[in-house]
Amino acid sequence: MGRRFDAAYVLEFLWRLLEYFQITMYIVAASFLLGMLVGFLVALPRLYRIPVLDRCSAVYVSFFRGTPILIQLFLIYFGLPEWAGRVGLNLDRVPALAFVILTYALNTGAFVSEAIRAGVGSVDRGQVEAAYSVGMSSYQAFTRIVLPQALAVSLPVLANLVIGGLKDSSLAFTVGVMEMTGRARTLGVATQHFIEAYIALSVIYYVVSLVLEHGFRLLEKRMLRYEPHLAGRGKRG
Amino acid sequence: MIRLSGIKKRFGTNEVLKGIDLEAASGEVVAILGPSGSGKSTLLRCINVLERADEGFVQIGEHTLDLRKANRKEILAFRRRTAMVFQHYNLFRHMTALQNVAEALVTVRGMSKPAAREKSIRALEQVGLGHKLNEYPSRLSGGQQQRVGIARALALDPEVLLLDEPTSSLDPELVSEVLDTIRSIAEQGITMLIVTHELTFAKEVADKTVFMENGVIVEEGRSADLFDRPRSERTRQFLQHHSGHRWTTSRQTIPRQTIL
Amino acid sequence: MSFDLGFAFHALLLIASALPTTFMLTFVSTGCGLLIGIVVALVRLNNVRVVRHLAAFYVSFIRGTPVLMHLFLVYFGLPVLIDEVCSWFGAAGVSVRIPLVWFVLTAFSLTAGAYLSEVVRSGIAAVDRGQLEAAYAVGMTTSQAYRRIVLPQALAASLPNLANIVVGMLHGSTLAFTLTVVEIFGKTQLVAAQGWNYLESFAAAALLYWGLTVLIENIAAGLERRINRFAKGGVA
Repeated sequence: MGRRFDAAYVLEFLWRLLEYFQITMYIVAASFLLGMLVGFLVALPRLYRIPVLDRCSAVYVSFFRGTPILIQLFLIYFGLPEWAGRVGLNLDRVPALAFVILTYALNTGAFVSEAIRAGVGSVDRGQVEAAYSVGMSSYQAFTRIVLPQALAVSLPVLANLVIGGLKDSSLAFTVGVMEMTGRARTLGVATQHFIEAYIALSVIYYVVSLVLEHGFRLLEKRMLRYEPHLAGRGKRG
Repeated sequence: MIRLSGIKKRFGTNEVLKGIDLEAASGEVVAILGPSGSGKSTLLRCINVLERADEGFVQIGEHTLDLRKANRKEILAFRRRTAMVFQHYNLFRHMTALQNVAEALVTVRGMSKPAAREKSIRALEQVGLGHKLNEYPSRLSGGQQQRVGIARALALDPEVLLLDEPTSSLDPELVSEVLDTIRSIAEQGITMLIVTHELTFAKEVADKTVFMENGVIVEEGRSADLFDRPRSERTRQFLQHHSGHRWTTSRQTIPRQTIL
Repeated sequence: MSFDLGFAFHALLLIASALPTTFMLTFVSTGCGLLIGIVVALVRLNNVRVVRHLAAFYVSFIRGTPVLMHLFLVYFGLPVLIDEVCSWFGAAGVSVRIPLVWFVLTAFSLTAGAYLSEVVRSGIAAVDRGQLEAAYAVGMTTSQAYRRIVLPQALAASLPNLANIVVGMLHGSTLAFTLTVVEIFGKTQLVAAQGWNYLESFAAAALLYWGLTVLIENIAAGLERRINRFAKGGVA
C-alpha cells in the first residue's frame, strides 16, 4: 500500500495543499452565487404560478435533485461538447473549470429554488395584505416585505448548500480541474504517502466547514434578530 | 365620506354579500355588528380590494371605483385613500415599530426619509408608543402591536380608516388600551368603519351602527337608537345575546398619556 | 435531433446490469449506518461520559468532510491499522487479501451512520416524553421502552429524513468507481468509452438514477401516509 506512515508528511502536505485552496474556494463561491441566481429565476414561475414555465421549473428541480452530481458533471463535461459538436458549435477551448462551475450552479440552483419557495411560504399572508393595504404594489410587497424575511428564514438551508458545495468541489478533479483533492492525489502518487496526504486534506476540509458553519450561525443570529427565538433553530439536516 | 353601492360577493356557491348599500358622512364613525359569517369582514376587505367583489361601487369623496371592472392601477390609487387596521395586526415582523410606520410613507408615498421619520414618530406618540420606536413586533405585547398598526394606518392620512375587528385577538386586559386609542382618534374627526364585537364601545363611540346578518344589512341607525330601541327582532336578539360589558368608559378617569 | 435515442436505450440496458451492485452499496451501507446511527444517537442523548464527545466528533467530522475523503481515508488508512494490529499476532499481508468492496462498504456505512444519527436524534426528540414515562410506569426496562415504544415512533417520524439519506447514499454510491468497484456510474463510463457516445450514455444513467430517486421518494411518501393514518385515528 505504500511506505510506512510518517506524520511529518502530513504537515508538509498541508502547506502544499493550501496552495490550491484559492481554486477550491473560487469554485465554491462562483457556483453558489450563480446557483442563487439560477435558483431565484427557477423559483419565480412556481411562486407566481406561471403556466408551462412552472412545470418546467418543477422538472428541472426534480432532475438536478434526483441525479448524482458526478453524473451531472460527466453529462455536462462530456455530453455538452458532444451535442454542441453535432449542432455545429465547437466547445474545445472552453476550460474544464467552466463546465464544473456550470454544473454546480445548476445543481445548487435546484436546491436554492426549493429553499426560496419554503422561505416565501413561511411568511404569513397577513403581512402581504398589510402591505397591500398601505398601497404597495405586489412587486414592492414582495421585495420589501416577503423576500427579506424569506431569505432570513432560509439561511440555515443556504448555509448547508455552501458547505455542500465545498464538499462537492472535491469531485472536480475527475474532469481534470486541479484543486485541493486533485493535488492530494498527485502528491500521493508522487510520494506513495497517500494516507498522509488525505489526512491533511481532510483536516483542511473539516476546519473550513467548521469556520463556515460558525460564520453562518452568526449571520443567522443577526438576520433573525427581529425574531430571536427562531435563530439557531436551523440545525444541519 | 364613503358610499358603498350594491356590493355583492360570492365564494363558490356561497353568497356572502347580497347587495350592500352603506354610507358614512365625512368624519362619521360607523360600527358594523353582526354574528360570525354575516359578511362584515368581507365587506370591509372589499372596500380596499383585498377581496375582489363581484359587483358594486365604492365612492370615496369624488372618486368612484367600479369593483368589477377596476384595473390594477385604479385599485392601487384607490387604496391610497384608505388604510386598514387588522385583527391580527399584520405588522412587518422584520421591521421596528418606527420602520413599520415609515415604510409606506417612503416606499409608496415617496416621502423623504427624514420627513417620514418625523411623521412616524408623531404617529407613534399619538398612540402612546413614543418610547418603543426601535422595538421589533416580537418584543411588543398584542395591545402595543395593534397600536403600532393603528399608527401605521394613521400616518398615511387616509380619507377612510377601516378597522377589521381590531380587538378580537387581544387578551381581555389589553383590549381597553386599544379601544381608548381608537376612541381618541375618532374624536379627531376621521371617517371610520369599524367591524367589532365590542357592543358597549360601538354604542359609545360610533355615530351610526349597522347590523348585518347573512350578507344583508338588517338594520342601521344612530347608535343610541339602534341599541336602545332596535326595530328588528333579529337585532334585538343579537344585542341581548352579546351584552357582555368588556369596555367601560374611561373618558373621565384616564388621560391619554398613560395608556400603556 | 442530434440525440441518438436508439443508442441511449441500448446504453440503458447495458448500464442496468450494474443495478445490483448499486443497490447493494446503497442499502447495505444505509442498513449498517442505521445501526451505527442509533447507537451514536443514544450515546449522545443519554450523555454517556467520554464516549459522547467521541460520538460528537465523529458526526461533526463526517458531516464536515466530503464522502470522497471518507472513502480514501478508509481505503488507505484502514489497511495500515489492520496490518499493524495483525502484526502483533504474527499475521502478515492481511489487508491486501480483503476485497475492495468491503472498504467501500465500511466507508459508506460510516458516512451514513453520522447522518443517520442526526436523523434518529431528531426522530426520538419528536416522540413525546410522556410515551417514555408511560412505558416506565407499566414496568418496562429502559431497553424495552426504547425498543417497543420510542424507536418505532421515532422511525415513523423520521421517514422523510430517512428517505433523503437513502437517496443521498444512492447518489453517493457513484463514488465507488474511484476504487474500481463497478456500479452504475462505473459501468456508464465503460459503455461510453466504447462507443464514444458520452451524451447518450450519461443521459441514460441520469435517467436511471432519476427514476430510482423518484421511486424511493414515492415509496417513502406512501409509507408516511399509511403510518400517519394510524397515528391520527383515535379509538372508535
